[in-house]
Amino acid sequence: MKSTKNLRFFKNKHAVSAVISNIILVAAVITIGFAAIAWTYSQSSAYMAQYGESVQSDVDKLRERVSFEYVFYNNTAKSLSVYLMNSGKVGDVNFTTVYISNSSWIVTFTSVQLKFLNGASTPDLDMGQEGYFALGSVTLQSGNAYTVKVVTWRGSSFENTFVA
Amino acid sequence: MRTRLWHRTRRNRLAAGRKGFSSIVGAIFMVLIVWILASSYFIYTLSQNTVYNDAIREKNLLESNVLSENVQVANTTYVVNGNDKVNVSTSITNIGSLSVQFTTLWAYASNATYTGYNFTQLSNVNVQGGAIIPLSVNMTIQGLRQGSAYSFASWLITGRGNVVPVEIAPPPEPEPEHLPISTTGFFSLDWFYLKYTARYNPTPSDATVISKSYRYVAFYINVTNNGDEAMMIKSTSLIMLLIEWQEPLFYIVRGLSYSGTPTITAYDDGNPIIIDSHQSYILTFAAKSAAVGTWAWGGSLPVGISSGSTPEGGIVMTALVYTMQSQPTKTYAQSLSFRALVLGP
Repeated sequence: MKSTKNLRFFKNKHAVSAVISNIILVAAVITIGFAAIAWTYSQSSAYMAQYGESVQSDVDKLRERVSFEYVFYNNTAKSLSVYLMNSGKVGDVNFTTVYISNSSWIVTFTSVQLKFLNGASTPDLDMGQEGYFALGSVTLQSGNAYTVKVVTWRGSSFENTFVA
Repeated sequence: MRTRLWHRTRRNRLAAGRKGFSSIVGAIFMVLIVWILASSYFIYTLSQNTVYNDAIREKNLLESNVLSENVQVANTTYVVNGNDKVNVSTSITNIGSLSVQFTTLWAYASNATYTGYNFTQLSNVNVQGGAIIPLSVNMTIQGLRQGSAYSFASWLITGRGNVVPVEIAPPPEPEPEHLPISTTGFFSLDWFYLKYTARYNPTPSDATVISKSYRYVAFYINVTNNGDEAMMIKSTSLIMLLIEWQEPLFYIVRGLSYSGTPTITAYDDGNPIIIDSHQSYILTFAAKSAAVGTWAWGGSLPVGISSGSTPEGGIVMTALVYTMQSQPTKTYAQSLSFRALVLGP
């Protein structure tokens, strides 16, 4: 009687393949599931990193503050010296564009050589540091009021009015 | 029998439904993915918002501190103590509550033929709130010549980025604190409006020197009611002249007439002068007593004043008695002082 039962089990090939295929199917789902989680995690990490950078950039922009100490126009040399201080709460402040203007005229400078007050060149100003840049070939009318506007690489702009 | 059959059928279905089992596993994964995504996104966004809000708060605080800096730099002297050299001495007063650190002093010098400027970076110039410190700095400005005259301007830069002008003049005196109107009295006086009339001078004139030969003299003052309601003047209001050994009194009157023998219209408390809020009114004083039509200085000098040729100085005091329209039974009085006058020959 018992030997007949064993014989029937070994002869039942259909039941064995069902278990194996079930295991394979579950394993495939688990593998795909983990792969999906990993992909989602990596995507969301990339997004979060991008979002974090964006927020940090905005925060740094908020912390930027530049104060104008003095603007001097040399009428003989036709040069304009602009003295500034990084009075904000973030370092690495440099200037990508400088505009000199009045109500009817504007001139743009995109290449500005920033220097410390002792004359040493610097790419940027850290917190509390003072510096200046000089612009050549600027023709201004003595006694007239002009506005100097500086734009930082973070996109903040600061301006000051002076009399040439 | 039926129960066994049911169990066998269910076992067979489960064995046959392997796709259903993997669907459950798949669904669990999907829920897991969605939950991880949503929660991480939510928490991260929240943390970034917090970072941004903190930055805004920090910026607002910075701006507030910048605006709160209140410094006066005055009493400045510039001394050219050598070629290319100038000494700048000044006094810094921190009126604000925040301590202020000064980083740089700028100076600009010019005359008809010269323009020059320079700066000096300062160290350890930190002024606590309310403190006053002197500052003396030797600076180099190329081109300055000792003995030449220059016009100077200078300014200080604070660590927060403020530019503070350096003034030559001393700081302005603080505004005196005014006592509340209810303490000082509601009326103010036009200080130079003490005028008088006399029989031979019936047009009001400045009461600086009044001849003792004048007769039928009356005094006028212009008062302004600074209160918020109307005031009623009482008949006991008077002007007193403080002259050596004598204090003749001149009570308020309602009107005067200089035609013929001058007459007084006596003041009547039943029909008082009412001065509205923030209005001015000219009050006349001439009567010997309250609410009478008798002249204090009529056909003769007030009692006790000699008619000699010696001029006598007199202090003029006014007692203004009044009630507020809203409290007619409560009487107030205010003393008003004038410039003095002289009773001349």
